[in-house]
Amino acid sequence: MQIQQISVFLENKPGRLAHVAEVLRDNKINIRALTIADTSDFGILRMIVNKPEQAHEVLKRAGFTVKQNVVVGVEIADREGVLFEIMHLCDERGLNVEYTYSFVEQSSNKAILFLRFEDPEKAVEIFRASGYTLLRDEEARKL
Amino acid sequence: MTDELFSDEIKNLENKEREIEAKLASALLVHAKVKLVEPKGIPRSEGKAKRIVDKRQV
Repeated sequence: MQIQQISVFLENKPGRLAHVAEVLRDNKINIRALTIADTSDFGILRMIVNKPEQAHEVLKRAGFTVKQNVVVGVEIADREGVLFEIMHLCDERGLNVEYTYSFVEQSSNKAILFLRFEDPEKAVEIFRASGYTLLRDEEARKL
Repeated sequence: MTDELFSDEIKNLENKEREIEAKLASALLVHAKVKLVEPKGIPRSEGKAKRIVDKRQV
């Protein structure tokens, strides 16, 4: 129930993101969702891709510092107020969200919220017990 | 930035910068701003160090 995510360390200078995108294109890797956290000096690119193991390998080979870790993907209805419901649940149950980003599926009126927790297993348990559908890793690759 | 040092959370990387700055400051007694760079991001020395800039107009 945990989804593989690829994180890449990028210096904050022109062309770095283009280089990542080029490596992914050359290896026919498709990005399902992405987010960038940035500071004045560096940024961290986080992505859900269709082939995480291969993405890790080819980016590493291209000289990037890459990490593969896990996030939790919660399926939510695409309507106002749902983010509050999720955050309220996390708050109530003492789950600290490290970061989050989302993906909207136009065809199904659903959205997927990707969340990074210090303790993803505990988060999975809590979301399941509260009746949420969690995205499986195979599904995330096919989004 | 090596794979071992890399964390995908900003706060951990910023803490790492501060930690290195503190170590440098205690060893060298001067404060230096530390900036994390990608592998091979630091240019190799290009020949001899240039320590004197001659501004004389002769």
